[in-house]
Amino acid sequence: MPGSLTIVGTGITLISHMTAEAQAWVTRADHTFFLVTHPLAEQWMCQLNPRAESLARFYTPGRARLDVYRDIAEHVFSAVQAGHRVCAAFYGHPAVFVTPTQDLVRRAQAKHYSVTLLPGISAEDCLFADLHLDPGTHGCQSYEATDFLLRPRRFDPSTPLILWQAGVIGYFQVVDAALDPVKGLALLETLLLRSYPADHQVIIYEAAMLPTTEPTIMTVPLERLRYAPVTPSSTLYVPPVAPPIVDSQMLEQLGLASIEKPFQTED
Amino acid sequence: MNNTDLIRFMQDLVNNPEELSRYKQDPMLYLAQTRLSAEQQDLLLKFSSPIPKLPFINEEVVTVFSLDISPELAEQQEIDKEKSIISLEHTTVQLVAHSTPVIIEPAEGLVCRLLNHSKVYITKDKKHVSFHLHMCYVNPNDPTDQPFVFELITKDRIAIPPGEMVNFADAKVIWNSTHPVILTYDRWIERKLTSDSYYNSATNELCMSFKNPPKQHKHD
Repeated sequence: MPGSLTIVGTGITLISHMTAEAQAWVTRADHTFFLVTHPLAEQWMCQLNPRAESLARFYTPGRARLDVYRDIAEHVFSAVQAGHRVCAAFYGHPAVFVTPTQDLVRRAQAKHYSVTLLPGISAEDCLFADLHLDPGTHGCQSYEATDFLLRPRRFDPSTPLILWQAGVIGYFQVVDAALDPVKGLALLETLLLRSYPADHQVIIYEAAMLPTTEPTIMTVPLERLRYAPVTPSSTLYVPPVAPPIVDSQMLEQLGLASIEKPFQTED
Repeated sequence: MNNTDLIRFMQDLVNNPEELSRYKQDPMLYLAQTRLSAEQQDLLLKFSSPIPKLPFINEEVVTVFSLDISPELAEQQEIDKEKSIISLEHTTVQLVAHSTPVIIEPAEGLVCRLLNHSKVYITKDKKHVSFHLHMCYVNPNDPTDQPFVFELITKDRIAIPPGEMVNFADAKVIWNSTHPVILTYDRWIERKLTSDSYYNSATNELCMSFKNPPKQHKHD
């Protein structure tokens, strides 16, 4: 019997977010590996499958995160190669901000193993719900914060902007006590101030990790961003400064000129 | 600790949204009616506080610190010396940093200043003191540090009848603390002043000593 790999997400909030299908895989796989961030989530996974194995031991303070991800992928894939039906469960959505997932999929496909990726509830999903943000209204820009600084984008201040991992800008190690987010935040603040007013209110957001807790939503003026109490789990949401302008010529061509209310034109 | 019960408790809440809503309305009251042990209840409440922050911002006023504030007034008023000491023991003081988190390093005899609008109010009968102080702190060991501002306000200031008002603008503050004092941005903290806190109405010296509240121990 050849090995197989199913990668699932546990969602963000303990118990509430895991899909029935993901939970079945965690429970029934020959070998289940998991990576979660809350101690209770760890215990819950072990309750679902007493043979489940945590991958947290690969995270030792000061280690380069890329080395950790590589070791995780190698460890999980070795069980697939041993012929087991393997389930790897990752916090949130397994394809969103989970570097080992891409590595595992690539390895499995290269060796012709069956690999399935099941979606989970991501932090972005939680943000949309908690901040009442509908990306379908005027779009949404979403970047990893360090990448946003390293590779300057032509972003649009009239469109919602989400910057992930704003608390670990430029930090590629396993998070430890030495982490100081102020420098990275100051650089981000400086960049954003070129496009937004100083008193523009931005939001530091963290999804609720337990069903009994509430999300963290803190509003700070952009000019104070560097002093905001961010954590490695924090996401920065920058609301648009104004609604996007409608191209009146395009409105005409689409035959929508008679509909005024939903659109704001340059006129 | 085995948290099987705790996870089952949360599973039950997830399965019953009305119960989860009841829990969120008053977690302590709800937990008191459960069979969870005191240790499990404590753990759940600890987890129920906002997502754990990094060490430098996850603590409130962590330990004892004291302030000795003396305004440099041009002239002192004639006040009966025997009645000049007004105890501030049990006075509840609220601390808040409105614009940024404030981190004050441990210090002995650190000199700070109060900002404008810092005022102390004394009742006509000279028995009660309230205040609203705007404190400015700069880390003396860090030349790149920016000034931090936070407020110290007596909780019952509004309730105290008006009397004499002393302007403490630019008053000198001697700060002593054995541990860092950390105020999370826009989060109000309340502490009762200890027995060695007083206001000297003869010299207008204001001494405040803060301690963390004793830990609550729950019993089955």
